[in-house]
Amino acid sequence: MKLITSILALGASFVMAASAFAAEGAEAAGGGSWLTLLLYIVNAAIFVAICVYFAGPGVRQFFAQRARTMRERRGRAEADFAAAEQAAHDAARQLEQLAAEKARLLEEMEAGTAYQIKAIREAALAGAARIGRDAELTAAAAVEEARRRVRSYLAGVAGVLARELVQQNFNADDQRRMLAGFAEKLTLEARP
Amino acid sequence: MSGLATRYARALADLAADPAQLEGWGAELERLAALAADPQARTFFEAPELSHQARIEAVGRIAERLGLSFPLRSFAVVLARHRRLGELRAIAMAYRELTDLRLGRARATLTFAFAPGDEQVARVVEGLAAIARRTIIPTVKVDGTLLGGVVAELEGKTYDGSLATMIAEAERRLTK
Repeated sequence: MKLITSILALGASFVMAASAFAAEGAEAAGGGSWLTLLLYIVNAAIFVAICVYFAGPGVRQFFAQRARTMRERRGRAEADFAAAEQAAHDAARQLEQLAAEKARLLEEMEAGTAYQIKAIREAALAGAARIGRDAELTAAAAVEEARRRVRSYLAGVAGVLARELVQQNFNADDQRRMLAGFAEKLTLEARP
Repeated sequence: MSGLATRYARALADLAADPAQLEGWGAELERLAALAADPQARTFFEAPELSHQARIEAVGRIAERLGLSFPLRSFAVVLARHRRLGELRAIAMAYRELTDLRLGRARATLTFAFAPGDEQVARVVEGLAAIARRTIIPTVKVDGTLLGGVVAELEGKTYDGSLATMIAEAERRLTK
């Protein structure tokens, strides 16, 4: 690497010297001697050598640093790229999972909705049946209560009429017969 | 009937030599109990200013004035000494039950719808005697609400032969 740099520097000094000589010759319009050319070359070589000597390491270090930085950046960029690719892959996988989850949830929701609809329908049917039964029972109870009231009323009326009839028509003979019957019952009860 | 009253009544009844004495003492005990139940007599016997001894002596004198026999006078004094004068009514009832039991008698309350004749009472009493297998001592009452017939109560049991109950039973059956 150093050799290449030196050759390049030497080549560059020749070119620069030639350019300087050509420029100077052109100004003189009469042309220069080879010695002058040699001098220019030597000067240029010295200049180049000085430049290479003093600035070379810095330049080399600069470019080495630069190359290292670029390699690091490239490595990071490649790592970032790989990470981005992995993230994209993960995202795609998650999207697929989400889509599957969404489909599953949708399926479950549909099944749940169908179950709820069925349950509500069955509850409504059962409620309607119960209401019907209750209505029948209530009606039957109301009828029975009405019958009971009528019977009670009639019994009360019959009792009142019976008492009135007894009070009007019951006489001493009736009482005697009743007592005779009562005594007979007592005697019968006394028998073992 | 409390056990205490029964014990006192039995103690007195056990002293009687014959049924006549048993009955006579019962009548005397009833008189004594009636006097003890009188409000004035109760106020006197329960007066706190009267000493226990004075109360005993007063009871003895009252028993003498009532003309009670010696055993009954002694019995009254014993009751006063033991502070049991308040139990006299219950003791008299227990004694009467005991007497009835010993003499083979039972008491019955007969409630008629109309005032009965002797023959009617006798027929009912005869039926009750057959049930109790004892002589019946009836207490006759009249209650017009029975409408007809009779209700007899004997030893805590009621024999209902009244028209009012028959009509009520018919009403009950009609209501069912």
